[in-house]
This record gives sequence, C-alpha cells and structure tokens, in this order.
Amino acid sequence: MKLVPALFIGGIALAFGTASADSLFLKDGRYFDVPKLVPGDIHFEVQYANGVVRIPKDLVKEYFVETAGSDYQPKNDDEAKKIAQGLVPYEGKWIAKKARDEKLAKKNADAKKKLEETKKHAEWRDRYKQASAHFEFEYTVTPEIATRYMDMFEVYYGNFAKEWGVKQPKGKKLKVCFYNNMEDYTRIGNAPGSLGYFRFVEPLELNFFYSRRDERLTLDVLFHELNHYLFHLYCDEGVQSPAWINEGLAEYYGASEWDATLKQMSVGHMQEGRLVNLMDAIDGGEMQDLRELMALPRIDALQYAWSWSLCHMMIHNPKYKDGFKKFVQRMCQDEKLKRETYPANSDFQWVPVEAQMELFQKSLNIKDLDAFETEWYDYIKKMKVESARGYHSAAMNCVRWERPLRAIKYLEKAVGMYATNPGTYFELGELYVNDAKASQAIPMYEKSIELDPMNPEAHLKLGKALRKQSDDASKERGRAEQLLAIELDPYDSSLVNSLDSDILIELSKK
Amino acid sequence: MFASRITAAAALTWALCAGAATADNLTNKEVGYSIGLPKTFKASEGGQNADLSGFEFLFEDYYQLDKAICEKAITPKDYPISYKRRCFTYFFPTRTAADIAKLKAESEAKDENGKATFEVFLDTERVYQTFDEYAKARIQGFYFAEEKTTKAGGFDCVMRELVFEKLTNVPQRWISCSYKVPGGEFAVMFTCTEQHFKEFKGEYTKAFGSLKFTNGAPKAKQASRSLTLEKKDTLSKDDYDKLSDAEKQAYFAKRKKEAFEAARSKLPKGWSSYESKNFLVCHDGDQEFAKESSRHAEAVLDWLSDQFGSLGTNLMQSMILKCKSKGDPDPFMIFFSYGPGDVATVNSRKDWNGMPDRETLNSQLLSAWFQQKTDDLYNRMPDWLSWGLREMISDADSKSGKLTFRMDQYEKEAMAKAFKAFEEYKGAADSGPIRPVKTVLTSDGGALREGANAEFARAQATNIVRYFIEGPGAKNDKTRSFLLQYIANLSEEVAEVNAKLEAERKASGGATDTRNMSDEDRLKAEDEAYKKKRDNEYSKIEKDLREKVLSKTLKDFGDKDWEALDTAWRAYAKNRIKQK
Repeated sequence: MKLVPALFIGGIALAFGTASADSLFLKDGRYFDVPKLVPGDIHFEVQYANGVVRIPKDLVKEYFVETAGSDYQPKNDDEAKKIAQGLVPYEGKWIAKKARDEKLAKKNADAKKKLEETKKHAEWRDRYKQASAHFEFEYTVTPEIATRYMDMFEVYYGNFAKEWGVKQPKGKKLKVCFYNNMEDYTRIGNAPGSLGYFRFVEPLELNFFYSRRDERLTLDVLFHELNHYLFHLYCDEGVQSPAWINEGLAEYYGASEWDATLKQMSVGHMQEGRLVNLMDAIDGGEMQDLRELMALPRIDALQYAWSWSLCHMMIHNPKYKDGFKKFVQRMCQDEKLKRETYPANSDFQWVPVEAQMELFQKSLNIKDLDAFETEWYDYIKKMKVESARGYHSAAMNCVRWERPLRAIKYLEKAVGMYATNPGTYFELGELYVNDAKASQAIPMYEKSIELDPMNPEAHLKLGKALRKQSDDASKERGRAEQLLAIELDPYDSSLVNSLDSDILIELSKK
Repeated sequence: MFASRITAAAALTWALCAGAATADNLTNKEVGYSIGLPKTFKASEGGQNADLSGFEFLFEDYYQLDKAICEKAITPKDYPISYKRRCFTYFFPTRTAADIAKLKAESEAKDENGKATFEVFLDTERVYQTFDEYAKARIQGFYFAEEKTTKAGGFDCVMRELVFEKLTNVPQRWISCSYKVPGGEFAVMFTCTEQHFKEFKGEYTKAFGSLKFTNGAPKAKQASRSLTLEKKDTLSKDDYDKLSDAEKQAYFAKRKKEAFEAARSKLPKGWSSYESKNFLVCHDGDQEFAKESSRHAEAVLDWLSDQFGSLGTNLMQSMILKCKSKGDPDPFMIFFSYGPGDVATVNSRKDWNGMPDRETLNSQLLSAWFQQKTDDLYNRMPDWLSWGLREMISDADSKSGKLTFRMDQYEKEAMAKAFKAFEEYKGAADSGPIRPVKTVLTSDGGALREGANAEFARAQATNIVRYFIEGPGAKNDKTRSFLLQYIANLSEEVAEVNAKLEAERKASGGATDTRNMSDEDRLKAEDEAYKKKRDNEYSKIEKDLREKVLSKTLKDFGDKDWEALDTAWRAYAKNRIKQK
C-alpha cells in the first residue's frame, strides 16, 4: 500500500471515484486513508463501496475519523430519550454533545498529529536518527518498533560480549539502517536478492528491514547479521575465518529467541527452515563431507545449514564446547598461526586449510575425524522441526523446488499448529487453487484476511476462488471481493490485471 | 526481463573519452519536445525504444525517450574512474483501468488453435504513472533526498534529488524534474557524482526550465504506441525441433528476410545498411568503419567454421551487425536472441563497459556461433574450455580475412606470476598455482579457483586452449584434433544426457498427473520424482561427464603422455608470455 503520490494524475483511481476521508494507522507501521472508518469495541470497520473490512482492534495503533460520532442511531427508547436530552454516547458513557465533540476533536487532533508525524518519516530522507549505547540507528519504522529492536541489539551485544570477550572500540558505534519494508531496503540498501547485510569494510554498517507479515524473519536476519558484526570485532583485523565458522555461528545466533517482556534473549534454538533442508538432503543421501566443508572459502545455502548444525552440535555437547571455542579463538586471534592472503590480491588473511584441520582436531581432541563426522550426522537426525514457522519455511522451499504437494503437507501442519503468519494461510490457499481445490482455498484466504485484513491480494484471490464455486451467492461475493481488492489499493495495476476477465471488461466500460 | 534496471554502478563504468564540447538541444520531433542541455552535453542517438532488431518489445508502460551524455568526464577524488554525467527523459502517459483492460485483452488474444497470436513481450504488471513510482521500482541503490514543488518551463513540477550512497565506491547524486503535462507526466533526469553535484546543480536546474513542447504537450502518437501490438510468426522450440532439415533451412531463410526487412525499416535517420556474407550491416554513415567491422566479424565466423565447422547443424541465423562510429556506444542497443530467431550485435569505435569493443564483438560472435550450431552445448562446456575459448578469441585481430591471436597483458602477467609462485610452491601438485593439464581438464571452475591457483585459473585455462589451437598441441599427432574431438564428444554426451533428462522429465510429468490417485499416493509419487530429479541434476553428473569425455577423446593417453603434455605445455606457456 502506498501513499497517494504527490503528482498522481488520476488514472486508475478515478475509475472508482474513491474519496478518502478517514485514516487508519496499524501497529505494524502501515497507514491507510480510507473512505469511512467505524471504530468498534472488537473490530474497526472500514466501509468501502464493495464491502466492509473488519480490522481487529489490537492491530490498530491510531485512527482519525472525520465524522466520528455524528451519526449515532439509538438502539432503544432509553437511548432515544438521552439523545433528545442532548446527550451522546462516548467511550461507554453518555455525555453532553458539546463535551463529546471537544473530546473527539482533541482525540482526532492527537491521532492526526501522530499520523502526520509517521507519514513525515516514511521516506528515507526523513528517517529517524537515534543512538543507543553501542549503535547509531537510522530508521523509517515507527519509533515503537525501533525501540524494541534497539533493546534487542543492546542485549545481544551484551550477551555476546560477555560470552566471547568482545569489546567495541571506543567512539565507534555501529551504524544500523532499519527500513520499513523490503522494497526500500532493496532499493536504498542497494542489495537486491538479500534480506540484510553487514558491511564489513569501512564505513561499517548494518542494513535490514521490518518484515511485517513475518516478524520472526526480521529477528532471524538481525541476529544473523549482528553476529557478523560481533564476530568482526572478535577477529584480529583483516583475519577471515572459514565460511563454515562465520556463517555457522551467525546461523546459530540467528535462531535466538527474544522475550520482549523480560528483555532477554536465549540462544541455541532450532533453525527449522535450515533443518528441513538438511533432512531433505539426508533423505536423498546427499551427505556433506566434513573435510570439504571446512576447506571451502565460500558456501552455498545448503552448506549454511550443514555449518549451523555442526556449530550447534559442538556448542551443545560439553565434550566439544570448550575445545570449539578455543579453536575459534585461535583461528581468529592467534598471531602465531600460519596465515596466508585469501582471497588472492585482497587485504584479508586466513589460516591455510591443512593448518585449520590440524588445529581443529587438536583443540577438540578428535582422534578419528570420520567417527566425528558420523556423530554429526546422527546429531542432525535427532533434531526435530516443531513450530508452525519451521513448516512454513519448509513449505516455501518445496514450492521453489516444484514440490507443491509436499508444500501443502507442510503448510497443513503449520495451520494445524495455529500459525499466526497470514502468509501461511495465503500460500496454502494458492496451492489448493493450483491443485483444483478452490473450495478448500476459501477458508485459507479468509483466515489470511482475518489476520491481515488490509491485504488486497488476499481479497482478490478469495474473490477468484469464490467465483469458482457453483452457487450464485459465492459468485456474487467473489465479484465484490475482487472489486474490494482494487479499492484497497487503487494504485497497484497488477491487481487490476489479475481480475477475472469479465470483471475487468465491466470495469473498463466505466 | 529485457528491461534493464538502471544502476549508479553502471554509470560508473562508462569509459573516458574526450569529445567536442558543444552545447546541444535534446530534441525529439516524434514526441515534440526540446530541452536546452548544459554546454558539453550531447544528445545520444536513439533512446531505449529505438529498435533495430525487428522486435517490438513493450516493457512496462512508460517511455524512456532519449539520452544525452556529457562529453567531458569528471574524476571523483581518490577513485580513478572517469565519470560521464548523463541526462534521461521519460514520459508516463496517464492510463485508466479501461486502457489496462484493453492491453490485457489484446495480449491474451489467441488464434483458432488456441495459440497466442502475438509474440510481444507485454508487461502490464506495472503501469507507471509517475517518475516517483518508476524510479523506486526501476532505479537501484538510491533514495529521494530533497524534494521541491515548483514551476519550470511553464509547468507545475517536482524537483527531486536522488542520493546513491550504499555499497558504492563513488557516491552519486542525481536530480530529476517531473512536469505535470497534458496527458501524463514528463520527466528529465541528470546524473552526477556526489562530490561534484554542487558544481553542476545550477546548470541542471537551468536546463529543467528550458523544456518546450511544440504543441504544448507530448504528441498523442507516441503516447498510444504501447497499445499497438505487433504480430510475430515464430515457432516454439518443440515445433521447431519437429521440422525436417529442409524445412529448417526454409524457416531460417524466412526469418532472416523478415528480420532484415524489419531492421532496415527501423533504421534511425542518417543510418544505412548493406548485406555481407553472414550479416546485415547497419551503420551510421561511416562506411569505412562498417566495412572494417564486418570484414572482421566475417573473419571470426570463418575461423570458427574452420575449427569447429563439422559440429552441429549448418544453419546460421540472420545476424545484424550494428556499427556505430559516432557518439558513445549505447548499451541498450545490444540484443541477443538465441535459438530460432534473430541475432544482432553492436560495434563501436569506442570502448564499451570498460572493455575494448572488438573484444565484446568477438566474444559475442563466439557465443552466438556455438549457441546456433550446437544448441545448449555452449552452456554445458566445462569452465576451462569456455574460459579459454572466450579469452583467446576475445583478443583476436584480423588481417586480410584471417584471424591473428595476441595475448593480452592480463594473461601475460597472470601466467608470469603463476610460474613464479609455482617455483616456490611446495604443496600438492593438484592444488598448486600451476596445475597439471589433466587436473585442469577434469576440474570444474570452482575447484580451479580454489587454493593457490585462484588468481591464475582463468589464465592457465586460456593458455592450455591456446596450446591446442595455435601452439605445439596443434601440430602434435596425438593432440592435433584434441579440441575438435573433445567438443564433438562433449556434444554427443550432452545430447545423450539431455535426452535422458528430458525422457525422465516427461515420465515424471506423467507420474504427477494422477488425478485418480489418493492424495497420499500422489504425494509419494511427487517425492519419488523429486528424488530422481535431484539424482539426475546436471551438477551431479557433470564430473562424470567431464571425465568420460576426456577419456573418450584421449583414449590412448597414458601417464607418460600426460607427463609429456605437461612438459610441452609449460615450455610453450613460458615462451608464449614473451611474444605478442
């Protein structure tokens, strides 16, 4: 959803003649100018020409209603009598109309101010800038969201610093750029195809974005990338640790959990998406050779998973934990170890592969590397995927690998575990439709809309699935849902392009 | 997606060139506008919509109209790069839902057999209505900084600065002006480095004020162009494969005629064309340069035919050689289409993208030749072979229709360093800075770039290919026909593997089409098909394939032969560095 562009000349929007009067500001940072907003005790209703969107109150942060309270209809004689006396209902009480109007005006003015304040910071040029003890934040998310993340950054820093003995150089706080959405991150951060990055050459910088539908993804990325920064501080200048350590540890810390109430983080949780990849690989007999992994200067997505599991095993097994830490410490900080320039012609150095292997076995007291490798495989086989999110990630991989039925299976498991990600339901709806099961898709799209009511794509897809049903009522509702989708985002021509042809033709005649 | 995403980095790669410093108006009679450019800027010929290839690509619904470039380069401090400032113009016609519906209906039109009647790339996913919307989707690496609503050229407008500062060695600041004009939004944009922006901002804003339209607005003809769809008559790959050789010849001839006619009809003003043996040569009036270019291009094709002519089909597609001797080369003019279609290439007197233009042309011809003759063999070549052929042919010159091969400075220096490092190297032979020929011929690119050989892998591969083509390897009885035979064997093996994979793909496609099975059985079938597919992935069988092709080609080679080959190649390589 976009702000109305300053110079938008009409175009598609005019075809609907939508006029925005009220405004709605959601906790996830999105705001909408809507035709009519009716606040309620459980839901807020947004009334569009083609339907009503119900938004759970707990998703709403602020709202502004142009005509609030002006059209209250009495429900019984008692209420009619009160209205005749010049009283009106306001927040559960009956008060004088003038007093209500004054309170409403103030409330609206406050809400409007907050909305304007947020809109003012939507563009990167108007970003907020705020410093914490170890970080310089720049962000376009709401200050509430940013504050939560700033807390996390500091706690993470504190924990890692204590565990690994890291210290930030004085006066050198890390600049952190936190974008409101992936599009802005990709464009401004200049890193297409990535989810976040730590710039490890001066000026050091960490860039990531807020994923509103799947906040866990935001956490994964920030914990992972922040680990790269902390590990950068940990290593001697110019020393490059092998990819399996660098990425394996970043993935290990990437799976950390955050307790917002206690402001505490815990480490060592499952990277369930990665784990499913591993299980698939093991299932196909595609085992990663340990020596090969340790010798690789760069690793691919599956090798991230292998590296994570290897680090996980060594940190969680008392037999290896101290030895592993000692190994990492020497690799990164022992000047006496033989180092060579790598990659060629760069300013970086690493310990040659043969020396790494020798040090690894010595530090962890491993006599038989093959037996250690077998122990590692067995460790992975005992790991389990236990959350809805893990199954969601697994399903998305299956979609990429053209395994739609397996993806359905995983998403059904996620749904059975009461997934809270609207995308889980949406994707399952999509897969059902593609599998000619439109009727099964309908409740999935509905659930997705319940969790994320202002998502036009879900309304569009629900509409299309409904129109595949045989009864007239469904067909009519399907038409309305498709038109409602266009009303929700009149500036997205891809929605118009996806309408059922007859609706598009009907629209084009207007 | 053919539409290119503009990046600040791309702007940095434009090469240095000192040109005449004359002020120029950027004028487009078709659209009916004119802008007074800052002095030292010159209009570039042809915008993104200029088309010589016969294709009518319709990108997203907007027009990048024209470009201009400052002839005088600037050099950012501490960064030895010559940066040429540029100017772009755009038009974003206002579209209604009805317009989009019409576009969609036309692009979806089918003939009586249910096939699409238009071979047009039509993407109405994004109907850009404003520069703001376009820039955010299509320009990479920036954010809008200062934004000012004002008036320029008599129109209401918004001036915006675009700041590029992340993951870039040379920060930049561009400035745009979006005018509200009848029928849509017109935009002009200038590029600059951040360091020099203040110096040039004044001349840019002055240029914004000079915009004029002949009729007060962009002409309707241009605005309605994207609603015109061009019918194409091409075959799908499956249909093409079913043709007999004679039918393929006829099809190629027809396509060639159509492509040449289309190209001729779309030549920009001042351009001419003529046909050489394999090309339609289009040029901007500099006949001498065009002839020199086409003679060289023909020499490259002749050499490829001499070396590898016995491979694959005898069919050569229509090739269009664009020779542009004036102004800067235009990266948007490069089109390549492999398979049964048209091929066009570009040539210029100037370097393009930091690479001497002759090298670009040579390497494009190499790819085109192999792609046409042997379908996907070129993509399946082991890295040592594709690196070697490309590097060697890129450096080729021609004289009297014959190719001569020189060695560029990079390769000489890399090989000299590799030999020096090899003298001091004490590790395993297979991981050293100079690897045994057999190791190179059986390794993939990733393995070759590992360890001590990382810096030299490409140079060594090139040098080995040189040895077989122009060195003693070309004269030795045992290795004379090695490359040709190797590629022929590779072609055979690849065809066999492809046929097997295709058969399995079809079989697994049938297995998943199991509507009558229970969901559980369908899932089981899908899982099994996936496992099978993974087992057959090209990357998994590639190693075996390489080894099989090599042993098939050098079937009588024993350890002593390999040792002799290593010795002979090293002697040649050391000596070759000293020559031209």
